[in-house]
Amino acid sequence: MKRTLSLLIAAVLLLTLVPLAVAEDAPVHIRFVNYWVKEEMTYTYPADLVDAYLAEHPNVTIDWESYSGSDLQTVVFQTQAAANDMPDFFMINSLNMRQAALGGLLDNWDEILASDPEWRDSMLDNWAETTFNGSVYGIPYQFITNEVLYYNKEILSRYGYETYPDNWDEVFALGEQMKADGLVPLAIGNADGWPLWSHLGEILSEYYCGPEWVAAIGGYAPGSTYDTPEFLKVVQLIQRINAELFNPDAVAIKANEEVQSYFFDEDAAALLGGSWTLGGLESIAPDGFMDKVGVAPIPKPNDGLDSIPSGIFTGGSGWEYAINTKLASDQLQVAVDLTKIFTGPEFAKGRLEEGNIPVLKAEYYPEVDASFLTPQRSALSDLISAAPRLTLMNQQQQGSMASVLYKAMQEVQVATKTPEEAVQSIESSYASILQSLE
Amino acid sequence: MSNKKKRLGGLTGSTVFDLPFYRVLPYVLIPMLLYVFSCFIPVIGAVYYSLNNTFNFQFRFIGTGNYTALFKDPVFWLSLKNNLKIMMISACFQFVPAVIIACMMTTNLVRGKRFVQSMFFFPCVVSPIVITNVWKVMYTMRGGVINTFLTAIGLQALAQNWLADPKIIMTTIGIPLAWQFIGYYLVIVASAISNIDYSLLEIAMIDGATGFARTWHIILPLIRNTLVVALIICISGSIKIFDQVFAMTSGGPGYASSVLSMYAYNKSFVEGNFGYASAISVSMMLISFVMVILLNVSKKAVRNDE
Repeated sequence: MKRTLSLLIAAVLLLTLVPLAVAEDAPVHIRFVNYWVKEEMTYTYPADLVDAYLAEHPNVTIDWESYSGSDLQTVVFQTQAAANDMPDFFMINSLNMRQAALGGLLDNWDEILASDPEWRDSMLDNWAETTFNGSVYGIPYQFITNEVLYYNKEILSRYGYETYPDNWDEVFALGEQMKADGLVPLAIGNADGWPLWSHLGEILSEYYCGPEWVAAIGGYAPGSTYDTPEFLKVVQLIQRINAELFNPDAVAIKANEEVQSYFFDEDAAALLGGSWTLGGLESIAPDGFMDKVGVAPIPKPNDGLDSIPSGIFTGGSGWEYAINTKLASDQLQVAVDLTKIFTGPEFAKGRLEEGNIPVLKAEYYPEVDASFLTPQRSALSDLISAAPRLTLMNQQQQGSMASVLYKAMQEVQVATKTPEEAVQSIESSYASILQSLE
Repeated sequence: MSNKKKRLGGLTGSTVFDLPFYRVLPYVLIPMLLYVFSCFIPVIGAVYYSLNNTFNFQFRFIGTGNYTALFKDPVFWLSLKNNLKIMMISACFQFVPAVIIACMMTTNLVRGKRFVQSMFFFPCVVSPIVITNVWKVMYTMRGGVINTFLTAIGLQALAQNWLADPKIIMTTIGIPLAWQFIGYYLVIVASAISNIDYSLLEIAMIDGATGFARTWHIILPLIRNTLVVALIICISGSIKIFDQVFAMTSGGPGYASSVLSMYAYNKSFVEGNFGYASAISVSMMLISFVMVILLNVSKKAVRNDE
């Protein structure tokens, strides 16, 4: 009897082990949507790292679905979200985070981050961008700033400047001289609407209205309003910059290459861009041109808030990794594994070599070929590190406000609206969104 | 009459109809189902969405709230006005020239008629996005074809930023549209004219009718139905215009060149406001419907006068 019982228990124990053995090799399929179009990638490290992961995990298959960044941010994301058919694991633009998180389309990373504090601590502190109602809904992909001024050192030195002025009054005075000499003081292409707001509007809001106002308005806080004298100053300054400094076709230029031609042809003394603009400039600049290029923060308005020092940046990730609420546990594990790879040292190495700032903190960087660190990259890195203040970007553009702000800036540019009318129109859209959220 | 023939209500005379109903049914059902799924259900869906607030991708029924907001929305009215401008440009610079050229082709004024027709039709077979991008290069301020040409002939004062001036932007968009689609209407009208009994025109010529008289009194009345159909295509095309505007200006600068479909696209795919975007789409459908009805009513009025 005892023997029979022992055999029975042994058999039961063996049977319980079978599912575990099966589970280890059970096939896991995951749909990963991203903007890494393999055919268009100059740097293939994201795909290479995923291939290496797949080689180590033969039971995992990944449905790699790529779109251009703009398509992924707009048509693809909005359609999937409206149909409640989000991919298992995906890259999401920061501007879409609020709606998706509050709409219950994203799972939060709270438990996963809590279970691996070392991983969380290895990343730059970008969490506010992806945190809603106290939970983190996205893992930052990178660090970028949208506010960098690239200037031609030779042109500036002709006017007695070694570096770009740090206040707008000086820039306007300099611009007047440059225009008299047939130069464009500042080049930008704003056909899409976002460059003017992202490169200027956001940082000027920080200077005039303060980060608290920016955070409140970006968070659709009750009582927050665009209808303030400080925000009007932002739009008025943009109007003046457009009239006195920009290239005359700014509002019609769509392609970066087109506006960069002003800069490369030395018809423009400076170019507005983001930290990510540098890689593009370096790749298409004429030989020797980059030696003349300096980088600077956006100047401070003289009548800006005293509490905000000049030389500030706003920054963030711009894109995040997100997970669907409907993931099975084995799929979730694959998504977490991949996210750790995408925020790890090897990925960071790729980002650095590409000329971008990874989300991984500098102390975790692997060895990188120093030749990738051009003088402009070093200078930009130093400027950001030494910035007296670094606040979160994209705050005002969350949800539906992005296109409202972009269009309003264009309307000011082409004078179909005065700054006062533009502020009223922005406020009217904002108020109606606030009302809808009630 | 056999039983099979009776089942089809006596519609016989060919082997096609000499079939039992159940065998014909799938062939009738397939296109009907396709129509229902691709046209009817999306329209019903759009109407349903338009009655909801869709912030944060959650549906909240608000009745006619989106339509009330739409009526107060200046951008909606500006977009509609731009659609009407496109319609006028299309009617005046696509449809009318096409009719004139087609009528001229019935005379000896035009030689190599097939070649002329092919040359006009050629832009129609090219993707609108390609055409638009070609014209964008022409319009570019710095080094663009038009400004370079104007400068070369000493008219640099006329060189300007063609895509940035709200006062001329709809004309700027309308020129490539007219250039691209004249051939489309030309083919339609020319094919209608080719069906006219040529002896009628010959008799008129013998009677001494001028080319204009032949066109006005014979050709145009005889192709009136085709002209109405072509105008309906022209109107509906103008109301739903999207790709050319999207590629040329994305509705900008500001909302200066926004059209209804572009505005609906922005509201849905940029702002995620599907309810409001659906209200715009439903309005577009109703506006097209009203215009087609007006056209048919005016056609009947003209016929009754005659």
